[in-house]
Amino acid sequence: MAVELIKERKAVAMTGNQAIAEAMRQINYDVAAAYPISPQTELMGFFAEYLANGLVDTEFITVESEHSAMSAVIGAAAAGARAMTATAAQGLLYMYENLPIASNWRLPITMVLVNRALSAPLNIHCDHGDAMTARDSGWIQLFTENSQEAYHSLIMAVKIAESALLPAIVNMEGYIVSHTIGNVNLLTDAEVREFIGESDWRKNVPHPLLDTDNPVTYGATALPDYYTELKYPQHLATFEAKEHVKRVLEEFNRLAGTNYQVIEPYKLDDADFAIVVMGSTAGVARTAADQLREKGIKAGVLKIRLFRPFPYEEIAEALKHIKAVAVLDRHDSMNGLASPLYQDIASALYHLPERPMLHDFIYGLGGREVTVEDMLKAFNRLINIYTGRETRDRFTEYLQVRE
Amino acid sequence: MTVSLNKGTIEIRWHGRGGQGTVTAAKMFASVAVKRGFYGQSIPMFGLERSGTPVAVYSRVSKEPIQRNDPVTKPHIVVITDPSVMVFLAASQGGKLPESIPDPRAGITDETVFIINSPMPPQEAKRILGLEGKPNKVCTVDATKIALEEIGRNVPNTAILGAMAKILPEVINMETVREELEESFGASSKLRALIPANLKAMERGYNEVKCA
Repeated sequence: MAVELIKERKAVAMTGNQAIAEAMRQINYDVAAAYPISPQTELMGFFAEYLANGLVDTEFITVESEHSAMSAVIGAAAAGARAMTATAAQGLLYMYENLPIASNWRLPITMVLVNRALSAPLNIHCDHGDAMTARDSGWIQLFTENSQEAYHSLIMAVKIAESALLPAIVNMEGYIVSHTIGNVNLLTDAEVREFIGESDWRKNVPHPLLDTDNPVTYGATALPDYYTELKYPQHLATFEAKEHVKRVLEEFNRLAGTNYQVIEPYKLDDADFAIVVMGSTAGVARTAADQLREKGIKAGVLKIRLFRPFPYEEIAEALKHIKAVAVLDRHDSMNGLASPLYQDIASALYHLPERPMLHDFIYGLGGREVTVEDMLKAFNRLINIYTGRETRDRFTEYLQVRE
Repeated sequence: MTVSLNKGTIEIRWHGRGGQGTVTAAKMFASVAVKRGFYGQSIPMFGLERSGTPVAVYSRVSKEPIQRNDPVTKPHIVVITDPSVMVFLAASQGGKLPESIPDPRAGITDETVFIINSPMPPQEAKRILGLEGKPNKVCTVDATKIALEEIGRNVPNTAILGAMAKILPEVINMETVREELEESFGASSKLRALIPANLKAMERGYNEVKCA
């Protein structure tokens, strides 16, 4: 039985990796499987300490690769266990072929993705390249701004995954969040355990493999006659997942006194210009918006917390009255079109009778520092294009490339 | 002549070297700030840093939640934990530092306070920084010597924190640092034995820091 360590709520200073390890301890997963990769290595190291000190009941499988990590948690979750893994960048790519299997099998696995740039060139620092490759994998994805949100999000993700019956990724930006120390308000162990509910292998998934009285098959073939029919329920479940997310966020807000929504508008009500962004850049963007407002420019920010399923209705509602919107994506899909987030935002706005002008900035690649000045530059370029003071050759541009 | 949180967020830039505990000091600082009921943040400069490489670390402390997580470019306080920075500055004679060393003078204003681990008197440090006649407060403390004498190892963190307690008494005091040390060292009896020496080093840092 897991030890009860935190009996009273308290404010502590923690890095993102420490905060996630703390959440893992409180959640007390049945199974965790992971292979080390920067910047996730330290996170599993912190968790391994809890394990070695006998504070958790988790079966920690130190696999020989990420492919095996995902295979192990798929097996564990199908058996009925509450299971998790954590990885980054190439580690995610190495396990990728198993991702759509977890989602189609409706396994409520949680994964912490400590966002890191994809090779090549080799780089261990943050961008959203890894998360973006998983955008079509059928996994729920939450983005987080700081260690506090990362901690809360993993706790919420367990409940979201188990109620939507879909696997969920919690994105935490490598180094910028994973290694930055900041305030974290910890819930008590009892509160976390009550919120997520006790893990019960008979109930975590509808058809656990361990239920030998009711044997089932996972991983059967479905040929042209049935493949579509086995995809369609997943299609519906992915749409329905948004409501599960909203409900869990609300429940969590009541518990923790937070105000988490699937999107987080900042001063958008009367805004003329807005930045759309995910992750740790949101605070820097809000600071820039405040500075512009001091000069009389009505600027706002839309932070997206829930990236998959994409809350397109809420986003359209939040942005419909804005004159011009700059989408900031910390990834370049190299598709000859635009960043993935831009494409999603454009799709979300397309059916509006009147929509904002859109511009796309790719920024923060491979850990490039993101400053308030960068955000001011994005706003100013957007405003100048909108007012015709500047022209653009393409609607997608690099914000920070050195010439 | 202290720095106060009443005007808003205080931003700090630390200059040290990989392996000398600057990141640990900055983390202790953030942790102490949180213990005092403030919002604290410390951002290490990450990556392929090797032992001995010059590093910059950024901290913020505020009464309000901290929005920004970008590098500190206009520091209110510059803490130099690596004594060799002053040697390089002296050798540069007011010119540029080698590219690998973050310049402690970057982005400073007249209000920026310096806390420097160095045996030199504060007047000399102020001259080397090119701040003679400027309103800046420049403080020095021989934290390395204090650490060697009290702890027996070159870990100047607690002596530096002692000097910082003089400049930032709102955030750092002896009692909270003791609490922090007891929590972070508490698990190991070997480390626990070092707490009194560290507190002595902090006290000496507080008493021996001199400002010009």
